[in-house]
Amino acid sequence: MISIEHLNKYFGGFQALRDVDLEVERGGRVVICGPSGSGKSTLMRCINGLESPDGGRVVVDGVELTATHTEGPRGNRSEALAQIRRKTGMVFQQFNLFPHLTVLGNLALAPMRARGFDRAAAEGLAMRYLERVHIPEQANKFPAQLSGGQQQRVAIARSLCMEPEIMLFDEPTSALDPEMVQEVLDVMIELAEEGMTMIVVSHEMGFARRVADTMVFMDEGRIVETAPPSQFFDAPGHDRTRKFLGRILSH
Amino acid sequence: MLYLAVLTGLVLAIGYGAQSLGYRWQWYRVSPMLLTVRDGHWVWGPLAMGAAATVKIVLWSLPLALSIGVAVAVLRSSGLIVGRALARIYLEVIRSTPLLVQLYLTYFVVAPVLGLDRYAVGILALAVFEGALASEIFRAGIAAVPSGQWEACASLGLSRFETYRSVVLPQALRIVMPPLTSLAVSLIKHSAIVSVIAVAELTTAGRNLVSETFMSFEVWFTVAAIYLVATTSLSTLAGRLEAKLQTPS
Repeated sequence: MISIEHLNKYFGGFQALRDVDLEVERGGRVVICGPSGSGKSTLMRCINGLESPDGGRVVVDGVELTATHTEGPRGNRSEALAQIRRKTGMVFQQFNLFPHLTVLGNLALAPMRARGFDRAAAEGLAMRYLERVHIPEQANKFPAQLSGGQQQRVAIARSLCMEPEIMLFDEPTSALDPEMVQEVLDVMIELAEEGMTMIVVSHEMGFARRVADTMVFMDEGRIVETAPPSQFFDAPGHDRTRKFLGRILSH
Repeated sequence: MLYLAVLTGLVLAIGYGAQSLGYRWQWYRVSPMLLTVRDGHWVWGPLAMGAAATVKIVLWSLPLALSIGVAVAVLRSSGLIVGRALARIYLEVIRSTPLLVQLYLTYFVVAPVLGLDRYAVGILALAVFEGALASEIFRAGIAAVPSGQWEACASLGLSRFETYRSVVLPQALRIVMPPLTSLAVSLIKHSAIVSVIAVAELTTAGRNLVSETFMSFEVWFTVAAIYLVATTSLSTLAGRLEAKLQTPS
């Protein structure tokens, strides 16, 4: 479903990703963890083209986004980008809801403007997904009137309205008050149980243990370790993984 | 209180000054300049006609200026190198030359080539001038929309056009309402300058009346009051709109 080979990414002189390889099967659930600045977010953002790779290739469901593509004719790249974004949804740490639209407006916008639905159909779809994240009663409020947990669930529903095949979660619970973390994780667990292909950057290790089929540990732009959760948590193969886990699991 | 005292002092000072000049106030002659009733019909006076013309000029040039402003701001924020350069040149040329000179250039050079009448010249020159200022306001507004909004749109598969139309511009507009209001107010005031190419608007009407009647005090006070009414109604209206656009935060 997703195949990443020898991916390199620079920000000026800083190398954010070093020769990263990653394979994700259809229905796969990958949780990526690692210290801040280790390139987790950058890796996610390369998958849906929010960042363009400087070397190597990213293939999402047969659509390729490579470094040479990036420098190629504009039409080529934007066509590939459009296809990849059609297949992927993304949830951000800071929600990034549209503050000037109601919850319903946030959800209905992309189906109307990118999929050609009429308003009634788009709002019907929106209500279906609002029910899936358990907040249909908030449809006519504005994002700022919701709690953080509710806002993040709206953001998840907004992505689902595009009916993506892959969901990318970039630290979805890091900006939330502790008591709101679980309601968002619950929605993500339900999604995983329905068979959604998911890549999640998160430090919620309880969630990872329960949901992930593959754990990835990144440090300094490299993938240090890739392992099934049981092995990853109980017998990590690398010193750095062990140290990192020790630090985040101790509290 | 202080304000009232100052105002009263000012009025007395003007009255005293006029008296010492031997000025003969003839306020009673002002009202026919606005409106008379003849044979049961309303007849609009020259000042009213002038005011109507000013409103008409503003109603044409303001939307035009705002459209130019949005277009140029979007062009400057785009990835097109030529487009960015053109937008930049437009801005610098227009912002760095006097409106009066631009008006003369449009009237004496552009108008004969394109076959424009005085009104069109006035509207065009004002729109192009205020459009440059509007573009900087819109550019600041667009830049103030957080990058996360762009990323959310991109990840949802919205095109660049849709991103601007549905997400970025509506938010930018809310941010720039106050400076945009100032721009609209100065457009009304700047419209007086088209009187130099003899467009029959409020200031032209005022000047003609003064040269006919020599009532310079009364006429210019009245003209100023009409501009004041126009600008304050506009800013009140804009204030209402701003409040209406406000989303809960």
